[in-house]
Amino acid sequence: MSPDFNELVGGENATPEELAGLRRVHELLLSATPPPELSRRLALPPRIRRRPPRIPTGRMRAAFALAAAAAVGIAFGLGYSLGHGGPLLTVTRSMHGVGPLASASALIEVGKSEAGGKRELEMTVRGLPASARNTWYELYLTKRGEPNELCGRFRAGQSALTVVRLNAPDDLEEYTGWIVTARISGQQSRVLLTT
Amino acid sequence: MHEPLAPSTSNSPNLSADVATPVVSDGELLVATATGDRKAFGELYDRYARAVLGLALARLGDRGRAEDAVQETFTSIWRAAATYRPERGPGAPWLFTVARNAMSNQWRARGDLPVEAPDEQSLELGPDERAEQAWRSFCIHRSLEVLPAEQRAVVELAYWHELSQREIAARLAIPLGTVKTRTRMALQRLAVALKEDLQ
Repeated sequence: MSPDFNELVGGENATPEELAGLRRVHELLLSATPPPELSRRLALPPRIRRRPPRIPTGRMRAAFALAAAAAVGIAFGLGYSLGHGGPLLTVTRSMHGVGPLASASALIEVGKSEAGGKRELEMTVRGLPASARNTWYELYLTKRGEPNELCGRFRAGQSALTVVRLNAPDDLEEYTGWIVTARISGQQSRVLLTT
Repeated sequence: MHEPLAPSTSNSPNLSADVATPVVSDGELLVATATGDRKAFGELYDRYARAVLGLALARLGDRGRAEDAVQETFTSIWRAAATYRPERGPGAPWLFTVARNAMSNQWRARGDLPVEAPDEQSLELGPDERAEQAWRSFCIHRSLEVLPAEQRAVVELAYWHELSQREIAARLAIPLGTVKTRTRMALQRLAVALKEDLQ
């Protein structure tokens, strides 16, 4: 039998606003699965290195950025080349918000190469405002920071999270990044998320 | 999740007592972890291990793989903590994204498709709703960790063991009034902890 809110909380000492907040929590708890118990294996954090990697600064950062960009390019090229009829290989990329939507984020999971020169992708976006009438979002692959290949359009609902399935071209190694833009019918788009 | 744990604005002393206890935010723990602070990392683990395991069980559907994903998630958190930017938002969404990434790595490592095992309440849900539910469960499981043990016990007995307040009192050998007080205070604390993430 589900617990009764009035039995749990009563209400004689609470303001209506407080009661509404408590009822919301009550409903969330009713909808939640029981939290799992940790096994002995998970009783402690995993063994870790002495120190986490540090972010380099100044000139070192620029040098590392160049090296990293080269490495990512090679990895992209190698990975997607292998995807052409090779072993199953998927790629995950994370995106972060920019400007007023700095707290937004997204995760793109790209599937293996499929017939027709396309790859299916799934994007999970958090923190995009719900789409108003005649507005939508667009996911682009970019070259040197400029939108180049449209992967698809989508709209966001009231949920904090939006999950969409779109398509990417087969030759991902030709591109350098991803962006999500907001588009209002008849107006220029603006970038909201980037890799 | 509770970043920062805002002081209660309650006018009710019964409901607001001890809710405003200051805690270190998840973001602050991530920043400390990036400097090699093992204690901060351990605190993050204590706060999030069960939430990540819950997410992994729902997504991967297998206890062994889910436990692997939990370990991979926290290894990634240790390695990547320096990439967390407090100005971009609280720590919970960042941790959620890292956890999902770790689970994607699990699929890739095995070369198979995600199970996305739905729980009973999500059988009819689409991808958006499933993702929303995963985020909600993640936040709820995480928020339970902010409760003192005695408050958490009454919540778990009420909601997941479906015991009445009287039965909880008998089980814990405490007065019924104490059960009611602890329950109210627990819900109040959870309301504060969940406010930012589940508006």
